[in-house]
Amino acid sequence: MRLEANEPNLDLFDMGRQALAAARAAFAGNAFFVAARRLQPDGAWLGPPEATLALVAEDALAALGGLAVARKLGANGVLCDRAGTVAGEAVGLGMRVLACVPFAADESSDVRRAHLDQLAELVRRVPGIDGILPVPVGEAQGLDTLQFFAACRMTCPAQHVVVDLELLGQKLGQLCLSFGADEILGSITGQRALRLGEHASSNALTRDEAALLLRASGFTPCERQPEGKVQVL
Amino acid sequence: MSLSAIASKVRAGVPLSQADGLALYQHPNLMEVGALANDVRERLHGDRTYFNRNLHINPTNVCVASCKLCSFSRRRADAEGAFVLDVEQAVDKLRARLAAGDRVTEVHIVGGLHDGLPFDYFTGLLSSLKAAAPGISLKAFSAVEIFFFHHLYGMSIEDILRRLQSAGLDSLPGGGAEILSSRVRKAICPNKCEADEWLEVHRTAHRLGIKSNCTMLFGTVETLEDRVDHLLLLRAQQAESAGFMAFIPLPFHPENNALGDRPAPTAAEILRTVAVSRLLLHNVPHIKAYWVSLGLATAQTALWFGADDFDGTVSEEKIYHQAGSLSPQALASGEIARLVRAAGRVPVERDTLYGHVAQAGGEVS
Repeated sequence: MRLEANEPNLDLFDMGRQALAAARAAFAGNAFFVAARRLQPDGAWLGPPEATLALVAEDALAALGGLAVARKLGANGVLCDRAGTVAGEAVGLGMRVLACVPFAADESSDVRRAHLDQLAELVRRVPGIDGILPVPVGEAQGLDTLQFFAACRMTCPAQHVVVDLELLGQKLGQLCLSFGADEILGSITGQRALRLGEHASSNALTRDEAALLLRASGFTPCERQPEGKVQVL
Repeated sequence: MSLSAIASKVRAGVPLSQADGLALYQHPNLMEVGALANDVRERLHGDRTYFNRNLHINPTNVCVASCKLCSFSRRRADAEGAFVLDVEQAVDKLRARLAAGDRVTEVHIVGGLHDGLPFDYFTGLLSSLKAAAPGISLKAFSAVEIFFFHHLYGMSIEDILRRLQSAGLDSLPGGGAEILSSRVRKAICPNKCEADEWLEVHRTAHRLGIKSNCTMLFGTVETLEDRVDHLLLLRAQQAESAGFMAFIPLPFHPENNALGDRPAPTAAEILRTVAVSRLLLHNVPHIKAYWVSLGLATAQTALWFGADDFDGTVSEEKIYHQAGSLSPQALASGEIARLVRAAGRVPVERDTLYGHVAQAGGEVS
């Protein structure tokens, strides 16, 4: 059964049950966290320098001079759009590819269905796509976000469904783990910086806190480390 | 106790035991616990989700209690950031909201335990607010404050409540319960009234016809057993005096206080506590998802895990924001209605006692 998000008559708990079961089945009850940083169009990085995952968004590549340049600057992951123009090339370069799927609380179910169909087609066309990253457009609503994550899981049962904590925050981000998500990424560090100066409003998570979010959602926490290693905690 | 056995008890209207409460807390699947709580919520309230138009006024943050969990208080009146509103300043806050066309129906008043203010200050505050807006409902002074007044001014709890009632008090907020356990209170708020004293204030209020709310602050040093026992104490009190309108679960916020090395409860833990409270407190009509404390998205989701009340428009909330809450300072009533609808529920504007408030067009929002 394909679940559709954004249809208010759907049973939230049925969606959650199915999506959670699918996520658990896909990754044997494990869920993942990864420290991430982002390459900006001007070549600067945002996020902890020691981050395992160094992402570049597809729409930043033109300003940077292309995928090969981003690779040289240290990027090892690509956030591609639904068209996935660079997805195949990035997979070929050994980069981790996450497909971004926008969603808006006020979009129609037809629009949402079309986005999910595009996503499914992209994942079929580019086998190396490793994960789906839902991206809220405008303010993320609690229920709608959970339904959309569940729909992504049921659309792409074998891929990682990834929560960007910078976009959703820790609370809503964690709840997505009960609705089909199996991975969180964000500014995750070994130790919390003192909340002073540039860190005064930092919401960075420590590794222990990230692991707690996964464990409290019923998963075995695993940390993605450099060179594709995964440490079970 | 299995979840299916607990579900059978819930459907048969049999009150759940301490063992049931612990089993709900320890059940591996949050979704199943949430679904059961949602059944109860929908049986009681359907899709209705209540909210009100309220104004928070904190008369003072000067407080002798020095609780480790608090980010709001100042020990001394001359400390940096300490304040005492004079009565006219407090009334001006209400007048400003009314002048802006906001049809506020309730003023929520809580403050520190200031040992330098006369009792007349508090009765004057109430009577002046009532004079400024005779139809307004005054929900004022937690049981901790009432018990402090009883000690400070040498009057019985009943006399304190009667005099406040005469000045305009309509109901009591539910704060200060924290965890109703001597061990926990010694650890986090040793100078607040004891558990039985907190309950005694509410029992007396209910006897005088003053409705109240009840709360639980969770995520500090308490155990799951402490939480369940707390809920069972509230349930027993409600069975005796029947004056609690709503239960409000309050997750601990760790910023700017002496317990700040502890992680805040996760969203999953918050939702589970909302669900467990709905299931254990079968005789308390409403469970509140206090958006100021939970955050908007978690509060929206809580409406499917047992909660049926989103609280109010608030404005001027200080206590949770000084403890690190990232939620907005206020929400317009239309914004609350939009958030509730976006969560798949039907917003209903209420007054303090959960009467429906008719809108301009004669409809309930």
